[in-house]
Amino acid sequence: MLHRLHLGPVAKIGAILVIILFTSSMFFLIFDLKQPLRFWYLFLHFNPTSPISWGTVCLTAYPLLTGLYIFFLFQGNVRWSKIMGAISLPSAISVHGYTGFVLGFAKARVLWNTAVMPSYFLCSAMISGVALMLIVAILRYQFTYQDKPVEEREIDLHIINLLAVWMAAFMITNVFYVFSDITVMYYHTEDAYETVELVRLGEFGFLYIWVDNILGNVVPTLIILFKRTRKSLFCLFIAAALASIGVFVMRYVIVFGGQYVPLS
Amino acid sequence: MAEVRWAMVVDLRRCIGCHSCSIACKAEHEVPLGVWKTWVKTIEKGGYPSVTTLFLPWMCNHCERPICNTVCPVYAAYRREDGIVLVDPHRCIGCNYCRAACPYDVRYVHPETGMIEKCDFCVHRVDAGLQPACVEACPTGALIFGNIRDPNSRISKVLSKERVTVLKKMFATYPHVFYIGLDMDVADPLMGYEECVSCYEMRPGPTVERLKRSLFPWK
Repeated sequence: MLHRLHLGPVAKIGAILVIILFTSSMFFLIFDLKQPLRFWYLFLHFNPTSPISWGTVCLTAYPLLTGLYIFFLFQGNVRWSKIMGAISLPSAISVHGYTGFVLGFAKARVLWNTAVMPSYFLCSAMISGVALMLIVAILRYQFTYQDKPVEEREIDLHIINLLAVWMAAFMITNVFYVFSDITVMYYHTEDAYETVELVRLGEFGFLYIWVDNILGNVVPTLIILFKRTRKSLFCLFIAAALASIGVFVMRYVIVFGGQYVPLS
Repeated sequence: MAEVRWAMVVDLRRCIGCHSCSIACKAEHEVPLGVWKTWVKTIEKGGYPSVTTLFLPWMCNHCERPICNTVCPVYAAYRREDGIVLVDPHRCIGCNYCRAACPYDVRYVHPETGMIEKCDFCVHRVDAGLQPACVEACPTGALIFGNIRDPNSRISKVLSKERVTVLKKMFATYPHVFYIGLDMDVADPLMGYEECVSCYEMRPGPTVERLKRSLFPWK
């Protein structure tokens, strides 16, 4: 699919980023454990009802599969790179989706325990991923376009445009998830109502509404939807940076805001 | 079905809020400073001259369907045949997931070992035929511990006669710490954190106001 859309060069960048970022993310997760030297117990005792167990497998498999994919891609072995790409795609989705399930299964916290959480997390992960790709693609174009013939420049600009449109689509979906989550929680039980009032619109209201949703979703979407700003690489760069910050703030609000209301 | 199912009944009509259970638990388990395996939540409600102090001894509910066991990635949290929910200290990796998922907020991280600990119904005492430390320490006999599968035990008789309730029934964890005379205000998590008369007095304000305040915080 990626080759058909002339996304070959971006696919290589993306795969390298995956290997770098996901290998380092594993270390962040391990050091976050209070007993980091026991991390290998996660492989030894697999609990199928725990999403952290699923995540352990996915998070290990994803960089390995992507490594094989990029190996075949650089070798020029199109058939095997396509096969590895197809295998790594489900692991890519699950590696982003499982965090949503980790939060969704924590039934004590009403802010997390919603059916929309996995999709919401997946969607925001797509935004931050595409935003990072967009930043890299823009920088790559800026630093290399002088040495390239016009056709290759056209392809590069086409890729940047395509990534921007995808990012806008995911951000619109994200705003829809936020809207449906807040409104349904507002019509839900006492705990959910209090969480909306005290966390989403209360203590974390400024961060959540302004920084995450207005600056992180609505403004970049508008930048991409208007033709004049979409043509400007600087504006697209700003949009991608805002989207990344917005996703980071969304994670902060969800994780800390979810534990804000006391339980006892 | 196992022949033994340990459970606890807390008779709140008898509780005088002396915190003996918390202190006995601290001494029994050498719980470090700053964390508690069991504690007594205390709130005051009403105003002079009609005022009440309410107490709620709070501990692990040893659920029939504990969410901590479900989500533990390494099976460190487990439930014995007799219903006691435990943490395996040789297996816990300290990921904190069970602490975040527990609706009763009874788990804490040990400041030195970094592992999760919680009330274990004094399993070492129970296995030796003794009562848990908090039950033995309670001066008014408000805590009743026993086997609910034995129809002749005191707890079974109390459970079949008294009007009991459990905390946070809606989470479908089927907790096994039963309360007699539980007041909705003391069971409300937000009570005790803000000055309020009753839980109906301090509910969050109208949404439009909140929305206005979060959308235009500079106004």
